[in-house]
Amino acid sequence: MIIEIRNVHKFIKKKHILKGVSFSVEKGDLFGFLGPNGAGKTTTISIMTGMMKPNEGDVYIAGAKPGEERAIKSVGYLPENFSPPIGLRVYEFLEYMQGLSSSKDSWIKLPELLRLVELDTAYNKMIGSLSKGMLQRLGIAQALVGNPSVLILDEPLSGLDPIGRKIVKRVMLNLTEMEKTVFFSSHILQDVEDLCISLALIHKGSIIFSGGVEEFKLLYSGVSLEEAFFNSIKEDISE
Amino acid sequence: MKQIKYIGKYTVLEGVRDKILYVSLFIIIALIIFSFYLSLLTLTSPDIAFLSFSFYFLKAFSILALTFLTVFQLYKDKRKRAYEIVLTKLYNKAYYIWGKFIGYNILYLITVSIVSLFIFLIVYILWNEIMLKIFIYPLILSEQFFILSAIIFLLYLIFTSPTLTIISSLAIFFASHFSLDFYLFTVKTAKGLSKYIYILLYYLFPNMELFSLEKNIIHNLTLTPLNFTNLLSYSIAYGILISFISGLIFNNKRDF
Repeated sequence: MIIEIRNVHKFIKKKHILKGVSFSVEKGDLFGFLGPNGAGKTTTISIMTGMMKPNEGDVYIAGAKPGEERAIKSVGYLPENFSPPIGLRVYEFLEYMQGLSSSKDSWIKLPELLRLVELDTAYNKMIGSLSKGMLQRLGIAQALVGNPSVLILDEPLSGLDPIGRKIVKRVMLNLTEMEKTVFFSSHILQDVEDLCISLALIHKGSIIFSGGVEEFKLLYSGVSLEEAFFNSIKEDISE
Repeated sequence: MKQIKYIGKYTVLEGVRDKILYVSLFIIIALIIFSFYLSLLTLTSPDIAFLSFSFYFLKAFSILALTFLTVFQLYKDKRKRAYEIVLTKLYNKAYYIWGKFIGYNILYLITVSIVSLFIFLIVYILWNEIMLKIFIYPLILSEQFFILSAIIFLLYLIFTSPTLTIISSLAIFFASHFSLDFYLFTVKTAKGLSKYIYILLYYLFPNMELFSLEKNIIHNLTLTPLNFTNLLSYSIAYGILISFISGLIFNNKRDF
């Protein structure tokens, strides 16, 4: 398992945000992390990236704890509402990220990296002039800079138009073909169904399900992921 | 070190392309032109009067402008979670603080040097004088900003509001111009434990009065290389100590 999360608890301002979260992700998987707004998706991701420390429980990324050198080298991260410095050009920003990345040699040249995320025409553009979809792809490019084996993407498809979503989805699928593990959070169920084989569903700080998409649909008797999802949190909807 | 260097370099680049910097530069230049018209009101030595006004405007406004720029950019990065991209790539989170600290100080030195060059050119064109001493002033200002920015970074870790950070930093900066007077006053008047508390406060807060050397530069008063080196050592020691503490605090934060 390339990502392992065991019994993670997190309190923020005395509020119990994560209540014993546990799941694992296999190497090379395209893994969807589902949940309604405020369920604890971003907090879990912040713990996985070392931006927050859990009050209890263990997290391992590529066998190391977040914040340790091995985990830092293994993870590429795209935060939610990615907003890079608008005063920089695309290539300048990626050079900056290359400078920060731990690897001594660049595994890929910047034009090739931009081609990989279908952003090759934007090399010299100011970041402030990019569309939301282009920004998300730039976010994926910066996450790929140090050649990490795991990509953690927080809501990479949110706020994108259909064309932008289609391109980002294609890029994500291409990444798994390169044997990268892609872990992404979303509340857009159709996207998770289109992309993933495995998923975890978090609700009110607890993992309700972790496993295969088909298994999830069977368990909650849904023809589609959306139907299964609503069945899984039925009691809360009726409230 | 490599990561600190990159954060510093791109902080300068971001700052150089920030609108706040250009608006500030425009206002400083306008104030300097205003200084020229003010200097015409003097009966003797308009060049000296021009330098006095220009230096005071430059100091007051550049300190204000760069404080606003630094604080707003730091809080914007935090609010928009832009700093997470950088922090997740760092082995030691303190590098973020140290890199930004170095970057903003280089940006400040560049800004005040450009304005000083402008002052130098005005003096040369209007009075045909080559006053190389003008270029000492940006260095002295930068020494002050080195201390002020270290305080800004420390307060950035304490306050969640940019307004509070700006007000507190500037309050400490301006109050520290009177620290020697405060010290002399309290040593004479305070008694018992309070006296020692005041003395401790005197040593904790920076002594910015040491840097009030505008008159020395303008009127060719004593400013020996030894004076200058002492000031430089003081600002570097104070700035590095405070930013080192800020870096340690930042690195040991549980949540970002």
